[in-house]
Amino acid sequence: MVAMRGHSADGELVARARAGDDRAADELAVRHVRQVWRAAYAITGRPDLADDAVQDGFERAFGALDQFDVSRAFAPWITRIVVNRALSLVTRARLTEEFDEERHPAPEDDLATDLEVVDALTRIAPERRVVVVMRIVVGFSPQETAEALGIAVGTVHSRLHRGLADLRAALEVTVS
Amino acid sequence: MTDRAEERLRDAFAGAGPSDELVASARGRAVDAASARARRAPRGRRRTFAVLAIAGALVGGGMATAAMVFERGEPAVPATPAARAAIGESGVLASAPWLFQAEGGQSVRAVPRLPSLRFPPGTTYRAALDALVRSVIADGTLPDGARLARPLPPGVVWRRSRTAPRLDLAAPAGYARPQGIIQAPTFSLPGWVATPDAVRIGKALRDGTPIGRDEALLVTVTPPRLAACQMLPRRAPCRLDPPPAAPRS
Repeated sequence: MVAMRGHSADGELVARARAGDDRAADELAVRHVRQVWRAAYAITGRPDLADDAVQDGFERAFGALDQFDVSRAFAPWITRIVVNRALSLVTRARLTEEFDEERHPAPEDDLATDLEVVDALTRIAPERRVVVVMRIVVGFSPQETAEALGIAVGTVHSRLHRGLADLRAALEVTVS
Repeated sequence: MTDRAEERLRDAFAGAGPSDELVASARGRAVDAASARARRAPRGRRRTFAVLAIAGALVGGGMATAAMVFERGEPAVPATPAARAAIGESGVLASAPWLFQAEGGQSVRAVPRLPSLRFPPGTTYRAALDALVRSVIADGTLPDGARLARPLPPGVVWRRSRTAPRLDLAAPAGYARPQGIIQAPTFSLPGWVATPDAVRIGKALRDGTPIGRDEALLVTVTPPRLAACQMLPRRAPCRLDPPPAAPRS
């Protein structure tokens, strides 16, 4: 498919969705829902909060498509919206006590992920965690991450460096 | 250069993905939101009209100070007349404390336990609460697709689960701590409702007076900030004050 002049790869779909084309909106959603859910899950550490973040984020993003610059990439834009929503949810749900898996086992149908890593990630400061998730989990470039978060590329590098150091420390603590 | 932590991080989420139900739900929301935006007047600003509905709920410490306009035994929600009648005949809803707060919020520790409501796989807390409240105020019934199940443990409002999420029918909108006062739902209306209608429906929501079914179906529920201790699996205990002593006869 040839993109319209001046439009990003998803820009044409966005333009059609803005004009009321439901199939274009649906295709956009299908393209991005898995990746943004993964980001939301990595931010929150909880599938149910990731579900909420994605649903809320999609509603907000697709209800505000006219604010999207079609010359730019859509993925960082919608990921930022969902990640911001995930951060606000996880802040609200801040726990008052440390999670004790012995006393409170995960649901029997929890995801088959490395829960030790998930738990360690949620202990990293939010501004570093977001950068780590966008760079490592989602796979955005430093430029895309900087654009999505509205920060300098140098800040992306420094937060990633510190975030990974925090992650290593958290994993060591968890293991010991 | 990647190290072991990066590899573990990448691997940890490589196989993770949303449920099919969530994907379907997200697609539906995306299409609905985009369509609604396209239908709106050009560049029209979306108006948010939020109404704090039924009083009687406490936020933080303090007394229940609701301006109550209901007679004892009347549902303290803006239900349709038919829904009010159906609630009165329902074995479960007729004894649901969150629906009857005309004399102030009740303590979650002082009300009888009720069955929980089991929802289809993938249902989120927000969706479950919204479905329950909308079904009750529109028709006075439990929502389609949900089934009664055994009560949740004391103090639990929502059981997180991908296969069998369950909602407490005694306090579906949670309860304030440390008093344990059962919260009433908070309602909102979509921004495209015309101002006169919004004002009229908003007044009915505040007062808990009957509304038409079409109006009831416009209402959405804003989910509360549910404390971590009110969900299963529970990560913290809910420390509540003792329930008020029963008056001596």
